Amino acid sequence: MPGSSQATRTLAAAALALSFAARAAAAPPPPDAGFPAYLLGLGFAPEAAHELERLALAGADDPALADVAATVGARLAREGRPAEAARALRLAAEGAADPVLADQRRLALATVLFRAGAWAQGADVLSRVEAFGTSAGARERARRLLCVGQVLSLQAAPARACVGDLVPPGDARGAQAARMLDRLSIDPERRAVVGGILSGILPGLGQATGGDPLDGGTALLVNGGWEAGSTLLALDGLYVDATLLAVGVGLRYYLGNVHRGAAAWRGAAQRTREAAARELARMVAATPLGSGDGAR
Amino acid sequence: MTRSLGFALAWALLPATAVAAPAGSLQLAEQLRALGNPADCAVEALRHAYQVPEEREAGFERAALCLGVAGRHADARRLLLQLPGPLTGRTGYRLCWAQARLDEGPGDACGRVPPGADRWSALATEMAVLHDLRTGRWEDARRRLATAAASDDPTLAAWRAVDAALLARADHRRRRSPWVAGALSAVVPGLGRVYIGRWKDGLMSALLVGLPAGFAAQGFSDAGVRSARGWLLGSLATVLYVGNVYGSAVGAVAADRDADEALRAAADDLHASRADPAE
Repeated sequence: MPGSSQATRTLAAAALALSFAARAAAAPPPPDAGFPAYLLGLGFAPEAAHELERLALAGADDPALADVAATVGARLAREGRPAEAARALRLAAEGAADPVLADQRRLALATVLFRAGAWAQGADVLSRVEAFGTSAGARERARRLLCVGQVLSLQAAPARACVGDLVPPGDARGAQAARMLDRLSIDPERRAVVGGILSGILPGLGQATGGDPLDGGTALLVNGGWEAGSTLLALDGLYVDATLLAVGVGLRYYLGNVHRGAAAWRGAAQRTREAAARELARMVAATPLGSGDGAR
Repeated sequence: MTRSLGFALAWALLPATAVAAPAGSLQLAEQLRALGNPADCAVEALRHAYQVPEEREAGFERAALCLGVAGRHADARRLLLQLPGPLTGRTGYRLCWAQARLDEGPGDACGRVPPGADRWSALATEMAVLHDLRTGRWEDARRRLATAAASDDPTLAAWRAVDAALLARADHRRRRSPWVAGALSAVVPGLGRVYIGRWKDGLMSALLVGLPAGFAAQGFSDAGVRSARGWLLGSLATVLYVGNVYGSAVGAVAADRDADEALRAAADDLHASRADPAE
């Protein structure tokens, strides 16, 4: 029956076609940016970032991935999670098809890395934009951000070089910048030695002059107490007791006082440097684009 | 020929239905939860909700469970509230379960069983009791337990029994007065610490105060009021005595706080054990 055979073949072919159609309809969608965007829409930005990284590792080639990664990175940065934001923004920068957009995302990435305290990584990203950026504006912004990073990471020598470049000596803010740079160059360890010596001469003096008068007063009282006690015991002829009090109890407090005097001066120096860095960073950030030697 | 056609049809349709099975991500989520990875469990459950939109509620419910297991109860609540309400069944229970660990507690819907409600609504009422127990509102918990609608559900009966036991434990805990502890230590150094149940500390305090005081007395006895040893050790004993009185009073407050924390931890354990009751 040739007619029956023909009909069967037709039915089989139809069944196969149906099969492919059913499989195509039922199979899970290929990995794309849809699910991370869905997670982001539900308010799960960290999970969206992880999913984006997973997709990137799996080699997903959805062009929307980079855009979603940029949104996720921005959200994470707003939520105060700079480390996770940096990972998403790195994906966004690497996946951007437009080089101008890629530069913008690298600038955002570097900012987030600075906020995470990853100064070296942020400087690395900015150095690349400064060297290979597509537009002069991007290169200039990168240079300025790099300077802000060097200032905020308290690197006195590079900061002096870049601030001098961005804020020329003839500028009205030059004097103020020079003053801040001098403060940024303070060596906390040298200051600590001074504080220790002061507290060694008079217990509590290092703490009091280092910005902690309460601690200084306590050190003066405690050390004065054991010194007075030792003296009284010695005057009574109780030399063993006096030595025990002086060495067993007093020496420990005396050395602790010297240590705290040093710490007070070190802390004060660090605070001075950080305040100067903040002031300088504000000054550099407020510098108009196109000013300074680098722009020329 | 008919057999060939049958095979072709079977090949065409059966694998397709197998691929269409929507439980893949949910099963993976369950496995991840069992393996102690609630964060990825939540993501897989949400993936299920994304891939099978008609089962979004089930996916959200499982994701909320995983978030709760990870201690992210606020996220679980936020997720479930994105579903169109009112939530019923297991999803409604999940919302009450998540809210029981939040400061604001479960809403009114979790505290009562509406007429004709299902088992999950009845179970959810116990979450309001659990929240009261966690936050130390013992009278509210007692009132809720007393006025709870009768139920023949064995799970709910077991939960109520455990909650009542925890309530009884809270009723029978011993409160210590900081004033009494301080006064006892003022009379006999260390006695206040014995009162709050720390007799070893009490003995140590008695020795720490008594020894320098004794040697100071000996110094004064030997050399009169000009005794340097007497004044030094007497000063030390005075400082230790005052510290001991103060420490006993603070210790009484801390002991009460520790007892409250233990009850709260027990309520938290109960909450965790009620994460996923059987159908």
